[in-house]
Amino acid sequence: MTSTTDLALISPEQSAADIADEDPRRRRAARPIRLATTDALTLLIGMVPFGVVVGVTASLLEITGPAALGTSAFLYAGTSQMAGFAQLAAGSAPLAVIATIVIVNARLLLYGAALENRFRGQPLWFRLIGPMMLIDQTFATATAKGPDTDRAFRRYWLALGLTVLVGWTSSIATGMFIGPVLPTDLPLDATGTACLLGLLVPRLTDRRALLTAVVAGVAAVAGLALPAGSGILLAATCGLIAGGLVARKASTQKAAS
Amino acid sequence: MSPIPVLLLGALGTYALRLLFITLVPAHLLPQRLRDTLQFVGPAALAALVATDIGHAAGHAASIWPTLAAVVSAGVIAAVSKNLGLTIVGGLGVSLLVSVLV
Repeated sequence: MTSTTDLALISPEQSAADIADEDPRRRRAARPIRLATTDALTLLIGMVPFGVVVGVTASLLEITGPAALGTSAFLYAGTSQMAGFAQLAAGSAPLAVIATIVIVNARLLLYGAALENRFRGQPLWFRLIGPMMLIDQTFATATAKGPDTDRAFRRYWLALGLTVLVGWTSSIATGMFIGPVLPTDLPLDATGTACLLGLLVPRLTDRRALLTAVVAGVAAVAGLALPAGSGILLAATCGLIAGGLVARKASTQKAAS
Repeated sequence: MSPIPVLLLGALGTYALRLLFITLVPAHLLPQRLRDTLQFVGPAALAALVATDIGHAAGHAASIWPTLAAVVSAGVIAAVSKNLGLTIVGGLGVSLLVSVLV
């Protein structure tokens, strides 16, 4: 996290600890990282149990080893991973599994759109790497607590995202390790549903969101007989159309009054 | 097809979603109407998934009660606490309890 400019300030006689104590520029630079690390550790309290469940589920499906762990880290989205596991366990076609993962993560589009102003003035490398760390928790924390300046936000976002990623991946690895010794009839798939609800319920803050969810839910039940993935996509589209129509009607009424 | 390449393709698709409105098509360039609709992506996608999970569980006698227990308990915990970790752990705990009892 130390930049070339920061390194130029270090003389051979000084230890890193001395500099951290004495140099105000370094102290200011370290602040977003310290803040992000504290925030990340708080987030991990809620995320680690779910990560272990993801790892246990992966081991029950025999999706283990470094490649599986690397894929989990790159995916960095437990709910969609669980949904993908459920599709794999049901014997769905690869395209249905991929569609399910992408559909579950469709909300990341919204997060990206909402955070775009924090990335707009940033260097290209950060606009390519930074979004990899966009998850529900980092989005919510960064929008609430993230520093204002570009440089400080960059440091905060990377420290937050990487710390959570390391903790998350470690919890999955732990789950993969202990999975084989657990009973095989655990209803762990219910964890995925619980997680989806945990994400959904706080978003039902107004009539339009509620209507969107109800329309999408009813459409999903009506489309259960459709091939896996396509029913969910169709249902989500129905909900989006309903929400969009209500939003449009509300903005028309607002403009008229 | 091995599951890892399938999950990897899902991860690539997810990366594209993350990148789209930040780097590829910056959100401020989108038409206002589309930006208005995007706010409903979360509720629409999540509600469709929850309903599908419940629908699938209803087709299997062994999983309906643990799933229903997870749904009800997680819904209540989420509404009260707004804490994702607590919701997951609570939903799983109640679901495990019901699976042992039923």
